[in-house]
Amino acid sequence: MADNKSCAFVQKDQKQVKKLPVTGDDGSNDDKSDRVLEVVAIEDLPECLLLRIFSYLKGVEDRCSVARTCQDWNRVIKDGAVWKGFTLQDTSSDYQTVKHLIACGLASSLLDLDLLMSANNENCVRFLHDRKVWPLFTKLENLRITNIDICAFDFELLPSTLKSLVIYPSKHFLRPIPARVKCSRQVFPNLEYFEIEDCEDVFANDQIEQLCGLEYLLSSAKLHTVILKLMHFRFSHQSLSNMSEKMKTVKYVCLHAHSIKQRGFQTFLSNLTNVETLNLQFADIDADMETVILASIICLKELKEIYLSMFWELRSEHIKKMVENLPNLMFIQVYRCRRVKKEHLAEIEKMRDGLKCQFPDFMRLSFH
Amino acid sequence: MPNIKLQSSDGEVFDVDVDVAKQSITIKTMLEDLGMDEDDDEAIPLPNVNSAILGKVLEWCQFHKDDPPPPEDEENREKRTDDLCGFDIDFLKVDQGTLFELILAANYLDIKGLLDASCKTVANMIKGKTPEEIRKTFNIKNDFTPAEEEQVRKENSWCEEK
Repeated sequence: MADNKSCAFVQKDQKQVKKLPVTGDDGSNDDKSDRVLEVVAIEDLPECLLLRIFSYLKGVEDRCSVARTCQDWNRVIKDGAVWKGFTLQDTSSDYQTVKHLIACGLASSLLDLDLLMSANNENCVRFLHDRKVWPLFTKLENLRITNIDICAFDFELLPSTLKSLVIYPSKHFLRPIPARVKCSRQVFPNLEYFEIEDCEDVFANDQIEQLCGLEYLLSSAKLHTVILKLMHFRFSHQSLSNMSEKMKTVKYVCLHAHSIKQRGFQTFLSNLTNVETLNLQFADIDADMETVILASIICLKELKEIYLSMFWELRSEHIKKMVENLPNLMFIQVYRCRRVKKEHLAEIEKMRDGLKCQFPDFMRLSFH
Repeated sequence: MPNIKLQSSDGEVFDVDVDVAKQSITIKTMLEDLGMDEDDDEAIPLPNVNSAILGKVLEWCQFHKDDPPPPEDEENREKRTDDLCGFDIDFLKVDQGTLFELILAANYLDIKGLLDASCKTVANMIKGKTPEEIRKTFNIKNDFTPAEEEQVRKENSWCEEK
């Protein structure tokens, strides 16, 4: 770790004081005769300072060049401190940068990888599915893949070190019902953050799919955040139940879906005992189902923040119930509720203004 | 404005405004923890910094004396290298030996702003260069064996074929 203070001690002990000022100085040394005009070179910098310099190299090509400069630099550039806060983003169609990183032996240092998959590129697909590739990324913590075919990509290939996984499935790849994530065992014991998001707008002629198998990606006791933004999907009771069973430790849940059934939703909620933030949006549910959802949220006693989008049956009574039943509630946001009836809207706004004196900024409304 | 005296490794004494000197956390801590009196006549010895470098460091501190204190958070340190101010760019247009001595001094004296600026300057000297160009720039010996170099080339071609 490139800790500044400890570095000062290293330097004090090992380096320094061997060189003296350059000519022209008027200091009154008495050892002028044996003055050695030794120039400080980059090799004289202690390792922690090299780490600091290397961590400023944002281009992966520069890091690769450093790795190939000399043995010493090759060793230093691999230090974890250099890679903290560094994301390798590869949007090229043939993953040239990732391949170069591997060739320079730096794959095992990388913590954060962001890949854009060109939907139709054979090379891309072959590379990602290559069994020799992923074991090289032994420390990878954060992975984001855009345009991935979630039904064809084998998630079991990915390193078990992952702490955060973000996937944007390509619409191009959606399969006949039901869509199944290709994973059948628990692969990420360290996962803290999981996000899956399809493109949000649902068109009339879009097929609405069921999605199964996500629960295998969620099986980590450290799971903290789960974001499911899948407006092209409906969830079966079984898959909601399977998923939520793995989400008992989760504090932040976002569930956006095309539609949802009452029993499935209630099972889902009953498992989220630790949730502090809940974010809900559904494209196609009827008024009764909306009311059920709005009424059942209050079973989540740890809730601090609620985000509701596209709830057109929202009434001031619902909010009143939430405020009364959720002791930790600090914030409610209502957005994209443009179809809330005028009279209800007026009541909700009145209620918000009434609450404002107790909790400043307790409630945010936007009805566009 | 109270002044303090700083003594370089080669014995030169610098009379400095306390606020300028206190940008060095090392000096600030000495003054505070060791109860060194500000109007004490005794000079603080800085055995790791010679007079030429200390002079430059103090010139930097003088210019930056009104800067807001740098953020404590090392993790989220700004990784940009194109944000150096005009003064720093000119100030760090020095020979490599001086630049590295400034880095060592900034590290020893714990002056974050100067350490960042000087390290960024070195990073900018590495950027965009091939390994061979880097070696030439910093006069580094290539100590890879031909076999090791071949290995990288082979790995590269393995990737090409894939």
